[in-house]
Amino acid sequence: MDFFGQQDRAKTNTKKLVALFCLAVAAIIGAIFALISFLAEGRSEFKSIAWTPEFALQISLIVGILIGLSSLVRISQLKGGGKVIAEALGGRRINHQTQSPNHRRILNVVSEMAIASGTPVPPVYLMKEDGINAFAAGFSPSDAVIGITQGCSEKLNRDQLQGVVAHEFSHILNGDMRLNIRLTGIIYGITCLSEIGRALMRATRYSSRRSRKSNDGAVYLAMIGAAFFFIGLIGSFFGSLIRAAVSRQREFLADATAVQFTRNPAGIAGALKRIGGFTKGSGLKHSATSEFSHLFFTSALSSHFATHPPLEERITRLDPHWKYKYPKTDQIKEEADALMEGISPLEATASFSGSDPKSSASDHPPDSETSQKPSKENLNAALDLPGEKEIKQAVQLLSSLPLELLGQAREPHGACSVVSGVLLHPKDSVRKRQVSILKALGEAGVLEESMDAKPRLDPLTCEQKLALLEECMGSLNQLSDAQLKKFRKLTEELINADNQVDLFEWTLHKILEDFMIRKLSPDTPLHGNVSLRQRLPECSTALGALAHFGQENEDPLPAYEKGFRALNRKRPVSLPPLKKCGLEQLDKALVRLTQMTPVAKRSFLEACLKTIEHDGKTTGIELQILRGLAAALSCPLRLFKISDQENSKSSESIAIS
Amino acid sequence: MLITLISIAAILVIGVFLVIGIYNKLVTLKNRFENAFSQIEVQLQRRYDLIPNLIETVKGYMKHERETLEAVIQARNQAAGSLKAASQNPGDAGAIAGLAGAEGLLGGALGRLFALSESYPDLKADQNMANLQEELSTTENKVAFSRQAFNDAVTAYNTYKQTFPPVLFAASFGHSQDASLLEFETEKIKDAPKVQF
Repeated sequence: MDFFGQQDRAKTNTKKLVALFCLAVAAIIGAIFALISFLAEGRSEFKSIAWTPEFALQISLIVGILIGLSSLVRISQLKGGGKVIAEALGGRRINHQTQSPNHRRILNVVSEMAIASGTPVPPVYLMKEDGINAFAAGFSPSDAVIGITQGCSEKLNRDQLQGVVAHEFSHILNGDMRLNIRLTGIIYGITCLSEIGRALMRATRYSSRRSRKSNDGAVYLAMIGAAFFFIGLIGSFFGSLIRAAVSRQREFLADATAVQFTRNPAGIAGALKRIGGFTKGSGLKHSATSEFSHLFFTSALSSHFATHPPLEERITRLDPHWKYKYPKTDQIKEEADALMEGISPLEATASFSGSDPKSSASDHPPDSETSQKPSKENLNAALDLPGEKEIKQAVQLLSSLPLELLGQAREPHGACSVVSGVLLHPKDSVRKRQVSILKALGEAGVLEESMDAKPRLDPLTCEQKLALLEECMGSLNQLSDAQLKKFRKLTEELINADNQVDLFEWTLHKILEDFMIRKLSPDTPLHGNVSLRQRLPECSTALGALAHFGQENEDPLPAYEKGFRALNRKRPVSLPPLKKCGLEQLDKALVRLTQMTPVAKRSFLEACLKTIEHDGKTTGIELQILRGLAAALSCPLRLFKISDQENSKSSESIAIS
Repeated sequence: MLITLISIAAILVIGVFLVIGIYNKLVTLKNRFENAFSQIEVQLQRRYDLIPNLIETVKGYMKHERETLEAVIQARNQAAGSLKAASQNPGDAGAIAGLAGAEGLLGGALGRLFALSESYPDLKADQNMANLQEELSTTENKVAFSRQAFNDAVTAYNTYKQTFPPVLFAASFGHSQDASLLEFETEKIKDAPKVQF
């Protein structure tokens, strides 16, 4: 159960799907050919073409092009990301400034889950529907969105909501969304066939009415149209069956993963029970629902092609002692606790909690050196799916952030200010230059707000800053393309103000660029298909950097070798000298590393973890490099520290065994 | 003959896709600017929520400026009403113009209030007043920022609508009206809000 493995499995699933799809198309072609030939046999003028191979070829060409084209068109439309789907379903984005406790609760639950699983916080769309349902859509974790119905926010308690959101997140992390989008496209292609058939029939009926004498071409076209129409219907029937088969299996998996996330089967089971006991159930009224039915938490349509397993079966798998009794959901009305969800009165008071604000002139956040000692077990888990522990840590991490900063990060203008604030240089001369840059390029008020935020940002650990950045990315999503481009330029200038790029700036730039590329040019492929073996020299540069910068006054060689052995035992590449592991060289290596397959990227990141944990402690420098690497490779990565002493001790033994 | 038939079918298919694509793109762009409006709405709402607090604070000091205070309250209520109307349908030019006009009036009334408050040293020293003024101006910045995003989205929608070939279909798909940009002109206080139809 890990992100990369699942992505890979989703790929093989897609291959199976494509095979099934080809079979369906072949069957459709055969059916059309047989039908038209059968009809043509009865007419003397067409008899010559019936049952001939040339005719079969023509039919398969036409049908193949039709279905292929329409599927491709639809898939490319949906590639625009989850936003497109959410908007097609009539969703309205929930803003973080919402004063409704129920809406705030949804956002909080989603934020916690996102930080826990190391993905950017996805935008949440609310659908004005009474049924209890939810969906996740998007092409990759970073352009994913979560959609939730009004009913969901009113009829479920926090645990149940968490279960539902966890279920959706497992779709995101399991790579189901990609599969789902392909499914949607393919079904659309087959259904399109019957639409085209109908259009053909209508067109020929019109033309034959105009010219009385029977027109060979028109009759021929009408025949093709009729064949397309009926066979398209049959095709979409089988398409729905394929979809249902694939989708049901993924639903069980997502339920199981959701329990793994939350360690609370009662939450998701409770949500399912409430759906069962609700007269409005999980139905949606929006007209676009049928096309996306497989995306939802539970069946959005009541039909025979159920894309989801029956409720009873899902509940009994989660709760074997269930007595088949549903609660009376109609009478339930959940009210979120405004205070608990952090809706503050107008004057939010900044709460400084945790680290003491040490004033330090260094470029790196103060307590980055010693306090962060993630246990090995925990670091290993950084690439896996989140569990209950991670969600708790995420809640802790989020609540350790000053409320005021969090509020700023959750709103586009404030998010710009926070990012600019983080980039402000401690040195006065550089700061002066940055202020003039902010004046020239920043929006009105960004300069003042970032200056204001600076003293609050300084005491944060780098982990806290990174969490804050994840929140910022969620809000920056709302900028228009023009604003994004301007902001990109602003941050680049701010980073270059001192004519050098320090590590935190490098990491931040990588995270921002990853985000910008996906937003501004969504067609750029994120992963390539180059194997690990072809990129060993580049891997060694990155591992070398981690080894050189991560070991204070110690020999970097053993740490480097430990990491490299995890990659490849046969062809060792010797440790590159410190000079060859600078950020510049790292950047060059990353360009080539991004061309690797997702699985190769995972192995590489695992090797990085091996190098990091060699000396048993993780410094802020190492965390930042790792986060930057992961962002540049477009991989989600969770960064947590465990200050628990016992935990790190017990993990020693785990690591040895 | 078969070749002509195939090419007719191909052209037909391509045409159908083109039209479907145009339709979807129009819907997407429209949804996008409507969603962008909700961001403005949140910030404006916050501004309208702050104004009663401001009046409450100011009232104690400016006893003889009832008219000005009432003008602010009235402008605020009117703006809040226009906002509600505009958020129902952000694509409606009339509603947007109404909001712009009401916002202009409110900006003018607030400007007069702040100008008057200069002559009340006690009020200027009031911490609460300083906080509120600060809060109002940051909210103003945020409104301006989200307004920019909204206007960008509206421009993208309008531009797409006016290009060829979407221009042929836009009207029949229910996108006949151009969405209008939201511009606030706080300077023109005297102009009554223009409502276009």
